Amino acid sequence: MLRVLQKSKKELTDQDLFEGLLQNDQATFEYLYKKVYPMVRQQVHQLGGQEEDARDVFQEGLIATWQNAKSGKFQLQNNTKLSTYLVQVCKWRWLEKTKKASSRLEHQMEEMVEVGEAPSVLTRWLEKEDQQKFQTQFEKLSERCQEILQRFYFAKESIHHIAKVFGLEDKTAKNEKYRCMQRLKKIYFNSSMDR
Amino acid sequence: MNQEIFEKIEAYLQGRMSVEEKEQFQQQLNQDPGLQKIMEEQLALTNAIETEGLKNKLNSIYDHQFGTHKQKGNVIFLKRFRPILAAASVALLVLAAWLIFRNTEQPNEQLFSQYYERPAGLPTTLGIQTNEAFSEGMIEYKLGNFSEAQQFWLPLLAQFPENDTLQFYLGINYLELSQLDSADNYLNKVAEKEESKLRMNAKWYSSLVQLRQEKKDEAFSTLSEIALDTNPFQAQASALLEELSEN
Repeated sequence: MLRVLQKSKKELTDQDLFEGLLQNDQATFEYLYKKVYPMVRQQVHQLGGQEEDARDVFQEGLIATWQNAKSGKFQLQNNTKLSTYLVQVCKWRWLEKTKKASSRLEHQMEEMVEVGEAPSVLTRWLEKEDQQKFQTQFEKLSERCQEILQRFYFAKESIHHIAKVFGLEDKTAKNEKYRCMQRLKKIYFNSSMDR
Repeated sequence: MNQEIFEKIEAYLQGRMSVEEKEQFQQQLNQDPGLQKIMEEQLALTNAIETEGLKNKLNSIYDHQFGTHKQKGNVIFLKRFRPILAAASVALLVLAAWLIFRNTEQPNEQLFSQYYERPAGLPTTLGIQTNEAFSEGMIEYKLGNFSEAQQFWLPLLAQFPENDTLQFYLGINYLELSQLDSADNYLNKVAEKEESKLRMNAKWYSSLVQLRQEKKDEAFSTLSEIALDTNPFQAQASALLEELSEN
């Protein structure tokens, strides 16, 4: 019975995972979290971090991997598994954060080169302050706008689908999305100028 | 900026342009630094929206899978993003449903006919089986006249509302008549009777009804129960489970 249940949850190949990342596929994120997080947590624990550190490092690492996949900085190669890459990114991130033993960090960076990436182009880390600021501005939008934008840009739902959910014509939904983006743009870039 | 430009930039960024359109647009970009800047802003915004979505998604996965401790930030986050979380979970449900049902319509029907074998019926000698109406119904059932059988059996329910043999054959009869909800209803009553000799039979046929109803999840769990127990349907249930998990 167990065997059957396990079998029903198919193993995802690296290709599946990579494409899943590009599509913001929810199941892919869950799969990676379940599979890779325990390894990262163990690693961070071993390097002296706590549960919350592990969680932060993993999420930042996954976001960085996702961004790199989208920008083309990270590409699938025969000798690198996606999960290996992610674990390395997280480990590197943790060492960078703690600035522990700089020689060890250098060593880690060399390892990353072996994995097939120069550290300088490896990753644009999620800048927490920037994203926090964006979040604050984003929340100033109406809930409806937030939902429309999230559905379209993150969940990658079609305009047709979104229109159906909100009981609108396709054209109306498209216009509404445009207006929401204009509003967000105005709020966000105006606030940036105040800095 | 007008909407036309906005949509054009979006089509470009999302790779929805033809080769020609793309070349033309790239030329436009090269010639117009203003347009270039608008595009970069748009890209930055959509990236930020996506990142925000992913951040929320990861937080909620963590809370579901690993969250044994509460963080202050999370509570605020949950409150603020309830609508988005709700949307995300709906999207997730839709996705899950899609994953489960996408290519099962045909195969399930096939599996059903592959595994379904009508119970032969009873010799009419014992208990309710000595009842004349029940016997008449059983004869019709064996002849494949299910509507007639039903006319004999349904009135008996008033007299023997909890009789498992009656419930079981009524369930099968409804299944033969393709009235799946009623079939499921009667078979379930028997499947819930701990002491009934027909309990496992009822479970087995109930799983087949669920399969025909495209309730793959329910069929899966019913079959699992059968496969875990020693009974005459164990092997069949295991085999069907294997097939189900493959398609």
